[in-house]
Amino acid sequence: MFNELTKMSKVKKVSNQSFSIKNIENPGTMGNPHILFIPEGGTDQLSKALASLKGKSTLVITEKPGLARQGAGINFIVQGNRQKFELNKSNIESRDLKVANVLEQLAVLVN
Amino acid sequence: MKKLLYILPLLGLALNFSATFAQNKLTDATKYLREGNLDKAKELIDAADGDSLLSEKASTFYYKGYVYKELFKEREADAVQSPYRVIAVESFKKSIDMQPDGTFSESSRKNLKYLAETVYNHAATSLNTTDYEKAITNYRFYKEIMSNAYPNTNFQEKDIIFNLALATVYNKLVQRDSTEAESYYTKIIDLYNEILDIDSNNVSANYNMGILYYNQGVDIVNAMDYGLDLEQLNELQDRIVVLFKKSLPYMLKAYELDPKRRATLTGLQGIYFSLNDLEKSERYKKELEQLDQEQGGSNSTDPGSD
Repeated sequence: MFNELTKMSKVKKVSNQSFSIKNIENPGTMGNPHILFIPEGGTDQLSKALASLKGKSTLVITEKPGLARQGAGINFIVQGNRQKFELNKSNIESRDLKVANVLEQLAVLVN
Repeated sequence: MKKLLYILPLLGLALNFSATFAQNKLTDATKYLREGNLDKAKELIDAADGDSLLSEKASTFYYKGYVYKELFKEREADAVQSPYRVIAVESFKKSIDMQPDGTFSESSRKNLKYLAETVYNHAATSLNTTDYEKAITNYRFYKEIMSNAYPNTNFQEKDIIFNLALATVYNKLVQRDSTEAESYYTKIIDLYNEILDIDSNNVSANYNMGILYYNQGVDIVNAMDYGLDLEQLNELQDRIVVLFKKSLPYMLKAYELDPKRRATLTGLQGIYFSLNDLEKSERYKKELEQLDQEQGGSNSTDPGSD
């Protein structure tokens, strides 16, 4: 995933802005990322990461069932053999982020 | 009255002479045939065919078939579509039609079988991306001839062989020109379905049908780029899942028939991965690794088709 994201960052911009991908070993020293992706294997770091990101406008994305109810803003799931994502709007908005309508329409909403 | 008595025998003599003259055409045709003078034989047998008496005889068409068969052998043996052969076939068929159990019928059937086999061979040699339409025509012609000669002929085995080969040609055409892919895929699916109607346990047809759908899904995945928005991504994912789900039953059948086939295990690993069923994907991956250890083969990720 890291390699693919890095490859993408070299060729793509978001709203004309470049972006970079960093691999974080210690959630306590991650700084202020716009997006934090926690892979399934690093799920045990979620609570430490959330604590470290308190008050920061970071979108937290995970990929293990149940984590949208444990603080993640977006959580990737598999449903009907398809890659889908859960969206917890309050988790996102609590970080001063807004959810685009199209994202909401495509998501599996989780309270 | 006396005049009538004279006229009648004279009439009989004239008719007899006409029949004899006509029969000479046929006799001479066979004579030239035996001597190898095919042009002369052809001239006379064509005349016999046009004769009102001889055109009613099975023997005429038998010998016509024979003359044209020899012409085909001598002058058009390498021609994928031979006019001499067509006439030979028509003539033998007509001979049989006129006398299904007559003197010439068995020999006519054997000659038809011989000609049919030459047609089949030409169909086989035409199964390539350039001449495949001739192959299709010839294969149909082969079946028509054999059905005429021996109506109970079973073509199932040859249908399977031909369809598999033709599907391979269409697959090559898809690779050559992807703009025509849809129409070729439809033809390929029809061919495999015909095979599976004959033999639902045909390993190649099951596997290749599975790979056909799988590859279409992979093509969509490979064509994706970073510029896709979520709605487009969703729509493409739906299409991909449909294709992989279509692929799965065929691939599973191929696995059931031959669980030690590398290409099938690779295909199943890929399909389940794409369907986000990682547990099953891992299972087939492990079987593949085990097979590699048993056989000492390399771990290729590209299933390919038969």
